[in-house]
Amino acid sequence: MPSINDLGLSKPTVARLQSQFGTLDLNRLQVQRKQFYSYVTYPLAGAAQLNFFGQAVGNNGSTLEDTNIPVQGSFGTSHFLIKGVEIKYKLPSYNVTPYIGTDYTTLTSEMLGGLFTAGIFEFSVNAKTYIQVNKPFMQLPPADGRVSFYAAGGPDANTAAEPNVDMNARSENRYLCDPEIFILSQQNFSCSINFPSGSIPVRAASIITSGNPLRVGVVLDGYEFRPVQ
Amino acid sequence: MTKAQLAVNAIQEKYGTFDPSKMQVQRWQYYDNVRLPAAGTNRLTFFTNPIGATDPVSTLGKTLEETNVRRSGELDEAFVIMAVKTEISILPITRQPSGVQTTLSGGAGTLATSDAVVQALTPIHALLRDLYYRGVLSVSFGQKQYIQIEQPFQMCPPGYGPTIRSISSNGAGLFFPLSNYVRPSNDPRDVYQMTPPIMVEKGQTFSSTVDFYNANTPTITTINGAAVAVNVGLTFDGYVLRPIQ
Repeated sequence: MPSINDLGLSKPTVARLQSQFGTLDLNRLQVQRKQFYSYVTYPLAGAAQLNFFGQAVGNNGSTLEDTNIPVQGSFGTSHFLIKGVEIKYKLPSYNVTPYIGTDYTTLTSEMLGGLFTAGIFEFSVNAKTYIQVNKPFMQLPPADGRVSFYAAGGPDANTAAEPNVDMNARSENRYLCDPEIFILSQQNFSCSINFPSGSIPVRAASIITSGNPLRVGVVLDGYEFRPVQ
Repeated sequence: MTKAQLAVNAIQEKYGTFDPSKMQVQRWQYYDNVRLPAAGTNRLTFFTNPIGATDPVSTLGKTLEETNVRRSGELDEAFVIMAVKTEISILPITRQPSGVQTTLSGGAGTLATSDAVVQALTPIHALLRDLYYRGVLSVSFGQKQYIQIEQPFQMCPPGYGPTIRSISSNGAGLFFPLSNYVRPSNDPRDVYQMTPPIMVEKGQTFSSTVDFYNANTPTITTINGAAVAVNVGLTFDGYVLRPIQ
């Protein structure tokens, strides 16, 4: 038990209390693979900037499908080693029937000539930029082995097979940080995709709508360091 | 070292915003994209117009989307070039001249809607395929040439890009015409690797061009009277060395 002489020494006192009664051991760290992710809605009119990890889970209705960051712009009580970065997207519904024969009814037009071909990704810690990559949707692919969708033929002369283009899914194409970037607990970082040459309005207006919004996300892939319990 | 240097170092150690004796290494890319002249050219020059400067062809100010160098012909920090990438990219349809975006009239050989990005840009893709077989990339530091690559747009692919399974269809009527799309390898293993890597000092001047000795680049296709906007990019992938703050 701490003695009366320890009262002026708050750190040793807390450490001794922690070691005897605490829920974790601050002297020992546990390491495991972890992905921190954050999704935001891509506005139909485009945007000059998309900011990620600005809402912690639970804030403003953010659920675990939107983000798992515990604190706004920080990994909270965990340290994190960033080994790779991935950009992803998701739609509530991919149903594009009927396909009427022009690629703008699918995401193909966005993949080959739209918002997925623009932008600049920046990751900064304390205002110092550590990652700066242009065309991030292509250079930082999801590399997640995502689902393939195949279509062939059409029911009549005025319909045809649906075009299918997607972000690179091969895991070996993942963008790797070299060397890895180590972020201490409670350290603030910022993560954004900017469009300084002009915002890119949604072109695939038949599939991306206000009722079927495009969600764009950043995944920081690496190792989480947290105290042993 | 002179006394002035010693004095500056001493002051820097105590009051400076960074520690020049400790360097930090980070994966980084320096890149520059220039607008391809619609009438054709025999030379494309890279890294001469830094961020904020005007691209002489597009007459637009260059932003971080086009380049991340801040001085003409110099890199911002010491840099190790590990790989060279090139890219020919058609600008997003909403950044194209208004004529390209304007609804086309339909009918044989044209489209019923301007929104059909791939179909609309089919002529330019067919044209750009020729460009992949052309040119010589030259990069010199000081007066000494270090990189000379023939057909650089094929030899130095970007190593990223979408996965394409199909881009359109071959139906009749509305589906006419067929769609073309050209792009180099999106596999990072195909990127041109520098062996050995090239170490570039901070402030070292360099020049980088792609020359078309035998004939100019193709005349860019016009759609609705406007030339399709195409950027050509050169990227050095490697490691930046910068002082720790």
